[in-house]
Amino acid sequence: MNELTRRRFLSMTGGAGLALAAATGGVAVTGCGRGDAGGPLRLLTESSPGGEPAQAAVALFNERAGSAVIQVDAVPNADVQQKMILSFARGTGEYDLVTMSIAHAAAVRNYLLPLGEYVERDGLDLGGLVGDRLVIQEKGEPIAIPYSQATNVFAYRKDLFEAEGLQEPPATMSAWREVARRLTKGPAEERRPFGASFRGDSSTWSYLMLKYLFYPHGVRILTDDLREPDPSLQSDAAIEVLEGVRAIVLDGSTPTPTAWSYTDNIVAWQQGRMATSNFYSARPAAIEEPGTSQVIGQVGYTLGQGVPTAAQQGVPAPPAGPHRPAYAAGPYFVGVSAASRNPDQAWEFAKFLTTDRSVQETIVDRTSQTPGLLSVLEGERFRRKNPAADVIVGAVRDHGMIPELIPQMPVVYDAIHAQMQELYSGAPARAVAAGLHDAIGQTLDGLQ
Amino acid sequence: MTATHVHRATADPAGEAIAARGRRRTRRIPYLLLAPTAAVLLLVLGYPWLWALYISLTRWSATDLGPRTFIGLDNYLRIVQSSDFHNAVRLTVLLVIVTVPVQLVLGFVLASVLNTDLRGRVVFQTIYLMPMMVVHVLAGVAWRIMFHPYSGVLTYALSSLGVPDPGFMTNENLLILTAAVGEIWCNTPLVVIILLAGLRSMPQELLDAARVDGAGWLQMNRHVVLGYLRPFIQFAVVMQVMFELRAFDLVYGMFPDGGPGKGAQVLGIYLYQSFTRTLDFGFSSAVAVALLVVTLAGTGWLVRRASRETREGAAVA
Repeated sequence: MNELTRRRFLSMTGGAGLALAAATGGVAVTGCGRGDAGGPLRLLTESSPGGEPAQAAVALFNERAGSAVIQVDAVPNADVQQKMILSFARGTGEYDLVTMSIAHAAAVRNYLLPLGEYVERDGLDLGGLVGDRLVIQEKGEPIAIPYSQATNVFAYRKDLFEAEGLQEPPATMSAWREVARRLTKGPAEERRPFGASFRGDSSTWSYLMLKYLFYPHGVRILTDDLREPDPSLQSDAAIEVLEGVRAIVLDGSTPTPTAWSYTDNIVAWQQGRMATSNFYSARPAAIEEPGTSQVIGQVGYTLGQGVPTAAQQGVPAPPAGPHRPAYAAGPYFVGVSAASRNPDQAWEFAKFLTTDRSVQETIVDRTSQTPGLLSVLEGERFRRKNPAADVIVGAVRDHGMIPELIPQMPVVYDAIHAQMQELYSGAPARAVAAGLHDAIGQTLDGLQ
Repeated sequence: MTATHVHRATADPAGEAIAARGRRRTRRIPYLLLAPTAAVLLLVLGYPWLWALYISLTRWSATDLGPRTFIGLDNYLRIVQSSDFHNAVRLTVLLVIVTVPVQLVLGFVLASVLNTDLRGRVVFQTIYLMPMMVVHVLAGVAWRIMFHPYSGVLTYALSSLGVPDPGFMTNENLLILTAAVGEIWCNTPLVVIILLAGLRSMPQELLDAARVDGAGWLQMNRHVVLGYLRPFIQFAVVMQVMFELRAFDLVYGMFPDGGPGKGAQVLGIYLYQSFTRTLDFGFSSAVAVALLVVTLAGTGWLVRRASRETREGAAVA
């Protein structure tokens, strides 16, 4: 290499190296920089549909403030938890506010600002929310407040019931088995409709399906301190539920649970290929969507099988577990980051989202979600929007809802998922009940 | 004739010193040329790996605000004792064993077709190579839909031929084979490219000489073509083994939860779930390091063997 070439090479290399260093430094400064205390607040939420209420509220908040006071970072549900954890663990104050589901809330509870002082200062009545038990507490102080609610409803085809001469939706597991068997039509490879369905393609749904059925029978999955499996998992009530599920599946009344997803279920309902199933309470609007659904006006809704429904129908009550029959809660919460540089303004939005009546009504009007403010839930607006409104109000007001908040819920879901797959394959209900108790116990022991 | 050694008398020591400096500079040039890339690689790859290695020796969970605690090899012990890890290794090895040979055979056949004067060859080439251009996770979702027991086009086609669904998406013993179908579809084009490059670089004289010697089609392919393609095949094997050991995106698209009974929970999915399920940085870092070790072990042996054969072949030549 001659001298000229060598100098050219070295200068090019040096220049490239400087450029790279400058770019890296610029990225580092930009990435690590914390937000300006006077700048817009940043809210992390889901892209949709869980994030719709928060995004609608942000639009309203900014409109009233006359400027973009809050900026939204909306990411897919599967990414929310990781994004939250990583930004909180870095401590860079990247987000001032975060909306989250129960599992997400449990994972980031250590990173949220205690809100007790704000609640007391503003005289906020958290009891006006859909169950003040659902306010997440850490060492006795609220750290996340529900703004949108959800629970379970049981959907059934009124027209098919009428055609079969069935008067009431099934109030017990054995009645549901009978109904499912009668309503299942067509050869095995092409049922039209299926009598019932269970979603078991993912561990989350295995857990939710079990929760929907256990709670109204007075069975819980975890003890109140969330450290151990609840003894009621091996009660007669739990075995009755598991035996009912097993029988319905083995009768051929359902699609294969391990291959049946949430989306499959909605589509099947819309196409008239499903007769009964449990549903997330925000979804009736989807299964009766105009222009898509073939079952508009033909679907009825109840609380599902368990002690309260049996009492309502005046039929012999099923075995009841040791706990008060209740319903599974699936709220969305809002919390303020402990690293926020503007916690006062962040709290103002959190308060706005959860307790402002017009915001809660916007949630009803513009989204498919359920409001978190009791007065709006019971109002005419919600009743007009959601075909299952009466059932949801009944579940909330008359029976109460229960959440569960453990930090590493997915591993508990996995333990339940494995046992439910055994059940769907024909394992005896009593053995699965014992398996659930032991598997959850081992999982929780491994977490502590 | 005697060898004549010519000794060049060094009459100019200063000139010799300048020449020596020039030789030293010349030897340094390759390292200088590699330095910027090496620096970037060290920064972008080396630092995160060293950090992950360090974290793997600590207890550090995202849900635990306590400080990181050094725990030595405890995380690795957890991995070794984990039945899920053993299952993931078994499934990953099975995936490699099923997919790589099929990809090689299929790749060779397709490359051979593309190496002819077939009319419309360019169109076929585009079609054969298209799977490479599809985002793998979307391909996985598409395969999941096609294999769906109730609405899948493949299961419907089979049922119309009187073949019931054996449980492509529900039988935990079949899930890895279902995933293998998707992997073969996605990754065979790379083998086609490698082998096609080999075939096109093959001197025509080799084939002519074999024909003159009376070799038939089978003998020609077996002894001449495959012999020539040996280094290309070795390269393709190393690449495909590496890709399949690290398989994640397509399998995730088909079985996001690892499938019923974790029948498709390959090492990539196990690694992903080890963090998303537990939020445990320490444990999931240890799983990442373990996956690296498995990949290096699987491909390192192949690379060493290929290098040895290349050196032996060069020595013979």
